[in-house]
Amino acid sequence: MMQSHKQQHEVLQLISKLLIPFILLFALYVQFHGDYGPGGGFQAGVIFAAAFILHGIVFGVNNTRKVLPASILKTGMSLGVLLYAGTGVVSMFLGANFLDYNVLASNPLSGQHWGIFAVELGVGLTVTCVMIIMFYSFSLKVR
Amino acid sequence: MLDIQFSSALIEQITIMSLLSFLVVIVFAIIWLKDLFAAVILLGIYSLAAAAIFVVMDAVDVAFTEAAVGAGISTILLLGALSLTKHEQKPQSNNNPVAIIIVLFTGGLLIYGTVDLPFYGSAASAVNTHPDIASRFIFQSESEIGVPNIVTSVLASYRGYDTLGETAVVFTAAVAVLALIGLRRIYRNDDEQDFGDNKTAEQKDETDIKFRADGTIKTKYKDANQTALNAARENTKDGEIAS
Repeated sequence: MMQSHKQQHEVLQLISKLLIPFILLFALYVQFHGDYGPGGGFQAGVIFAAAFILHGIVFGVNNTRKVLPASILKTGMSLGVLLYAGTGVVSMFLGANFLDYNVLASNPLSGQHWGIFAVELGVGLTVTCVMIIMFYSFSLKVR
Repeated sequence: MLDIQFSSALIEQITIMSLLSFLVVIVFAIIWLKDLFAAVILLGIYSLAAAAIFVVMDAVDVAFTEAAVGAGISTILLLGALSLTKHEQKPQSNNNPVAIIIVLFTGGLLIYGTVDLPFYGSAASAVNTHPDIASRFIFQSESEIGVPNIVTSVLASYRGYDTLGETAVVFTAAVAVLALIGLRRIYRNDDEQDFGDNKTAEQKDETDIKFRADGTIKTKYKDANQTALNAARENTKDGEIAS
């Protein structure tokens, strides 16, 4: 009789449990520190997704899908694009060009800051959800 | 002082050159290999080497993306795609003369195109001499955007349209994947336990359980249907306890 799945991967599962919070934290750092250092929404989204993909590889995709169902991911990936484009629409309603962040706050510099924050959040949300949902759909084996 | 600068520039050139030749070696290895699993892993190594080149060239943001996407996610996705297909490339004849001529012609054209490109880091290149590109980003982005990382201000503000397009492309890719292979299976299996994640190999061989859309289970041995169902239920329970 072979060892069960859990016994085989006990070390990997323990180490992953330790690692996943730090991967998520690093993704948040990359997301919100992108103004000052290397990084931004795209990289942060990929790292955030990597944490869930690691969980899926080690604990089985089904368990990951209980944590993060595909329906949430579909909503999230659409919300990200909408947040990005919506920022542009808001700046249009405030009298400036599409995606001109200067008018989003009282002075242009903080307007730019808010605009970039919103836009990067949208990119991060979309990329995270897209990467995880692609992982879900590719990891389904048909037997 | 000048000597130190010169030698460090020389070391940088040597590093870039050796990494670039490493890329060429990997590409030829990928072309020759018939084992797709090894090819996918080599693609990941290729991306990692490319990321190292970008770091040496001081393009840290690009290197970050390349390492995360190229070496990380796309390797995982390609491995996942491999699990849906076979691991060996189909044997095929490479003797089509038209194809070879087209490939050589296109390759030659691309190499001819690089002749006109400015040298790496050249101060006389159009990007560096035009007043509205590099010099504006470097000298005015601090007062116009107020973000210290120039790459972020270029990507998210100066070229916001471009990044919106990129995000839309990523979104479209996911929609395409869902439309082609994902959508139905994801919903169908949401509440079911399958893929053998919590089953041992022996049990899988014995029962060969298949889950279907309507929730019924198909097994290789039709008489053993009920046994398989019970086994599957037990496994599901085990899996839940284990998690």
